[in-house]
Amino acid sequence: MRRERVLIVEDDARLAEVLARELGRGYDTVVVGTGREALVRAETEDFALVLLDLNLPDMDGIEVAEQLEGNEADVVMLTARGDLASRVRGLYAGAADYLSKPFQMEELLARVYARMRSRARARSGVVHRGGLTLATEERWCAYEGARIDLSAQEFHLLELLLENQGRVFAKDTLVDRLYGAADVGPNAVEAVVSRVRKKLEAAGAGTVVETIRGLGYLVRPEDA
Amino acid sequence: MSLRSQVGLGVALLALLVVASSTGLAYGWFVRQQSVELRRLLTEDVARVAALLDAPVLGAAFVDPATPGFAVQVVGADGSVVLAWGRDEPLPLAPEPTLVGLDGRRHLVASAQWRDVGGTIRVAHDIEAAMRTRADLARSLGWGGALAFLSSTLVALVVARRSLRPLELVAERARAVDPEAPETIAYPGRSHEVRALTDALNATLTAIRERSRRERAFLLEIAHELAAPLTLVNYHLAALRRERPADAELVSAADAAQELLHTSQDLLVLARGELDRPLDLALVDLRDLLERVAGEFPGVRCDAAEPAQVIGDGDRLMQVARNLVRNGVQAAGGPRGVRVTLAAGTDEHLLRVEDDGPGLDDEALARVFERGFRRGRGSGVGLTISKDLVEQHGGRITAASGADGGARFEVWLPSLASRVDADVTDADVTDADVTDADAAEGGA
Repeated sequence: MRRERVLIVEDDARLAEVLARELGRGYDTVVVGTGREALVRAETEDFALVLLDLNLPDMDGIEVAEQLEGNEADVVMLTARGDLASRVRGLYAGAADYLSKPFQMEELLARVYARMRSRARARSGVVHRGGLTLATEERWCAYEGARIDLSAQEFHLLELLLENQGRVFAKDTLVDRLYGAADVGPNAVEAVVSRVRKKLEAAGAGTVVETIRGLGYLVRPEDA
Repeated sequence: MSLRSQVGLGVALLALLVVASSTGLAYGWFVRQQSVELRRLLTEDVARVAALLDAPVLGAAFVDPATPGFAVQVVGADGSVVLAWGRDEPLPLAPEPTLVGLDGRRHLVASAQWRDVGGTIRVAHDIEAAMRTRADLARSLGWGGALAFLSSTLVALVVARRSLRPLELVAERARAVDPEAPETIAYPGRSHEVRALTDALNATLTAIRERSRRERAFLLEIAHELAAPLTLVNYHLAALRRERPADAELVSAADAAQELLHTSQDLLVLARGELDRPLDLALVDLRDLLERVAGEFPGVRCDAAEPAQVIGDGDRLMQVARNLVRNGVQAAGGPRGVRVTLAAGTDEHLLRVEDDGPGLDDEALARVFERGFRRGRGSGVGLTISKDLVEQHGGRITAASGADGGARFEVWLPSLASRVDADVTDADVTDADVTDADAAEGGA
């Protein structure tokens, strides 16, 4: 079976070597030391994941992260500068992770594996939870074989929550993700959630989307 | 004494001085003029009487009967009254106009020699009315002065209060400045002095902010420099340790490297201001988390039978658990003296870390969460950060003495069940909301 490829963008050669050695156990790795090289390689080759140190010698790591946004690859960012992290956090939803330097190798590996697993799920084009199936490529939703009609917004919401099971989405985050620049308030999200709930309940799926008081919405993983 | 009172008092004293001296001067001038005039009239009358006696005119009278309080006498050398108009009792001899009291009324009396025979002409004017005028003037001057004093004091106080108001405003805004992130103060008024003060204050605030920004940048720079070496040392030592677990020196070095890594992570959390950043919330099972932490410290007993789910930031909660266990390991002198227990509850889950170390005395118990308070070898920030993080999660943390003399730290965190809004009805979504959403959806 073809191994997934990981692009390691790290200017500290010793650290890059260690990262390549550890990640090399499960993936094919490519190491580059500059942002420009990283962008060229990411553009021309297929990578499953980019491990990106935000502190690069030739350009701002944030800029690299921004330019990678449309790329197929998921991104795990590394930096010793926490202020950068908060700036990139909003950049990707669900497709990026962040780890502070210094770190323990186990932590980094755990993140990379988790990211790869969720990527594999997303790439399969189908997300399952209980009897609920969401075909993200073909854009349909069904509970135990019976189709559930969802509007584009409803589908998008359910997709986000199901692909990131266990994660709490604040209403503001969902407003950003569902409506982008459109000027709508959290009420609009509440309304979408409410309609999704009604449709899922009508189909017999029970309570899938839960409200966490004062914090947002959550879909629990099946086993939790 | 406040500046306002000082200004008020100063203006009041000045007003008092001005009012007192001006009324005093006015009164004195009036009294002098009045007295000169009265004396002149009297002296003239004496001369007029003498002239009349020397060359009598038919029908002339010395005293108009309609003018009371006017008396003229011609007194002989023997002191007997020869002629008298207006008064029969002899008037006193007075070569210069003199004030005397006659029948309880004040009179001005003057006399002059007449015809060289030793007789005298004596004239008296009743000046009671003039004296009353003088007293009236004194009274009105007094009242007017008092009124002027009071009103100028009042005006001074009001003006002082008004002109010092901008100072109070600036002071109020200066008090509201957040020492962590000092923002400059806005002064909307037009007072030059206050503007100068505000500008000076703002220059200082800006300097402080710039300095703290530079310090922070410096810290981040150091953090960046240290990050890679720390990661590498820790990684290599951990790998070597796995290969040669019996090498006591290697194990010690690996433990120290790990501790260094975690301590610097704590310090960096503070340096980067990460405690101020919002939590990245997800469903976290405390049992998984504790098992992972216990795995990092082989030998620690972990008693976590049931899953215990919370809503939290997994990394942060991991940091809390790791800090508590690390703290216990340090106090107990090794992982074997540390026990971690997880008790899942309905509304709250309890995470307990106990050690069989020397325990905490009362002072330590009271201060153990203070920044910089050190217990054993710790950096003095781990527990502070832990407390902050637990509270950010809506939980609480306590320190106590354990049953066997060691320390016991307990963390309560709200359970997932307590945070799920079970009562989700469609009532909280109105038709208007739905219409808005549909409109937005249609446009998207």
